[in-house]
Amino acid sequence: MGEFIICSGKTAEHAFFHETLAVHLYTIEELCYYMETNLYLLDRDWIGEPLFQWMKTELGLEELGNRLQALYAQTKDVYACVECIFRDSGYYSEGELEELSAVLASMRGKTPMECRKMRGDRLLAAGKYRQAAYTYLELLQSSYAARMTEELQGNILHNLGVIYARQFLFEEAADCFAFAWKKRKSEKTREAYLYALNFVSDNYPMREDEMGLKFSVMRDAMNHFTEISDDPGHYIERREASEAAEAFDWQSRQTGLLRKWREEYQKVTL
Amino acid sequence: MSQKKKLYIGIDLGYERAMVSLFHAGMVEPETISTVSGEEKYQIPTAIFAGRKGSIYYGDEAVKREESSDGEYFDGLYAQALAEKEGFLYHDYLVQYIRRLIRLKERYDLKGMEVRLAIAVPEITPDSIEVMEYVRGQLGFSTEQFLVMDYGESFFAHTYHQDRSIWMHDTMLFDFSKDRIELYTLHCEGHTGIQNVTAQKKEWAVSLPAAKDLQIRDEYFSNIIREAMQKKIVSGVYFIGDGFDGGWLKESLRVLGPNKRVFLGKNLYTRGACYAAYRKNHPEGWKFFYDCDYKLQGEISMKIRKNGEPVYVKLVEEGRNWFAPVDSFHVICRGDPVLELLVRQKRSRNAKTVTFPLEDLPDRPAKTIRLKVMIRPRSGQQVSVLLTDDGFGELFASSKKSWEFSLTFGK
Repeated sequence: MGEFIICSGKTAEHAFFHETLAVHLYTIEELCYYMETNLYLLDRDWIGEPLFQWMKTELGLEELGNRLQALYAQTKDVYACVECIFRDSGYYSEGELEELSAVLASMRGKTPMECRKMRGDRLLAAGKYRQAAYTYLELLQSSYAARMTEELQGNILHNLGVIYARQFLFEEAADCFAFAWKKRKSEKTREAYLYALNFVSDNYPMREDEMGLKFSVMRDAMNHFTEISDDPGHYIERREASEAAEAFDWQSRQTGLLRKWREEYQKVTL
Repeated sequence: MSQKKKLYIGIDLGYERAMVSLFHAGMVEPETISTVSGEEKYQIPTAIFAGRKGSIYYGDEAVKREESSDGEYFDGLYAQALAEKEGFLYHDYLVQYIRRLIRLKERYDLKGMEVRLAIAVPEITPDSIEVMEYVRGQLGFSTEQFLVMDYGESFFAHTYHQDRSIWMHDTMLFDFSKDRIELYTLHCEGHTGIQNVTAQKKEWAVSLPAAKDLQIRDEYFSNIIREAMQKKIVSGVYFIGDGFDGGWLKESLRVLGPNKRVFLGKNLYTRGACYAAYRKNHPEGWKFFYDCDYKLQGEISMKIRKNGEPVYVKLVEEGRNWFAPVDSFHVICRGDPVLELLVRQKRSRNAKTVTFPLEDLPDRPAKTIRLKVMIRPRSGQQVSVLLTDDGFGELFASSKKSWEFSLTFGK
């Protein structure tokens, strides 16, 4: 069951705007939501004196604003200030605050690029594939890629491949896994590539040499796939479909199932 | 910062005439403004004459020009504004009229005082509230500076600012205007703490013979007194209205009996309005509460999470006028919330929990559904809680969806 959280602070008459954000923020809740969903954007460019002053004058959060000003003057720690805002906002439950604290702690000392990668990973884990894909594609642009290790580039390409595969775009997925393999030789990536090949068209190039597809590799992969297929947890949809087909009201069950899958698919592509 | 001295203006706004009184901290009691100096001529017809050349006359000056072809004559401004379904012609003339009534204060040396206005009307109805809200807006008064009440409440405010001997038992007011006699009986409950005062209202139509013949009228009214006084201990009686003019109260006074303070006058409602305005600003030490059907008959609280803790936020306060403005606030939805309200009936110690599930919430990421919570009392008994999707700033536009839940006290 859900609940209602009371909004604290006023609605600003004059919004907070910074070119980094490209959005106008009017309440502490909007600020929190924006910071939470764009943790990689947290930097001294916009978290500092003007933001704290705005919170005091526009949101009427005088005491919090003063505390942030003192904390920032003492530590210059953007993440500490953000955590303080999260805590005082009343927008989060204790559990959510702990999670956010852990994320912020893991971001300390990371470059903006690494933070951005973390954002992509969080979006992927949350099933927000489109947003995750945008984040990864942005990171793969040459201006960023030039500053990345091959390992990091490989990881990003692998994750991008996963996103494509989950959206049934298996040729694009296979391409990504192949590029990822080039960057760093991970068995996981090669297996993912082989799995994606199950669903590509006949004229799709196999890249046997490029991917080092020897007999032993194929055998190991096959064994792994068999293990996976033995786990019923991976075949929920298949079970649901078979149950629907055997049901007395099979037509309506199948229609309902299709509708559910369509809705789920639409959700993950958002 | 120095606070401005307050001037309390009380207006008795009847359907056909009005009266104005003034009161401030330096006065012993409100003073009713007479339209003719040196005389007790308080009544001002609710009429306006709009001359063709732009000049505006009001009150008696307007009535004098009723037949004139030099402009347009409008009377019964308040009654007409109540009946006005389209446009705001009478609403606007009423605003002008009340503005002129307020300007009567200029006859006194009261410059620099902040005006607090109270208007007593015969009856509180949704229409009268609509008209009064229009007047308030046009005159530029804040809700703090403006007060509306019915004659019953004005009678209450007047009575309980008088000597205790008048209200130590029930107090009665007979209002005889035109062909009707109205009776308000104030009854006080409780002797310690806040004392609850109620007004019972009764009406009689005056028969044609009684209207024409003063002796029959006296006899008829003495019977009304007998009926009204049955099983009641009364310590004070007021006779107001033009109907009592003519010195015919003979048998009636005999029937009324001894041991009562009796008053005859016309300006009680306007003086009562002044007292009520004063009390709104100075509630300290005032131990009387007026209870009537336009006072909210219970209280409602809403379960909300505040700083991580579940709390009940009061939405509706017992005893407030249902038409008084209520603050709105915003909440954020987490998950699929159920609106949980705690409803307590007046004078009851127990509250009951009422829940309303919120269905068909907009499809947005978690914690980005911000709802505006508004309270819409419909009467003293019935209150609606309205939740509207207010969007989430520039990040998510409002879906324009809203949910309304209605509650009735005692049900």
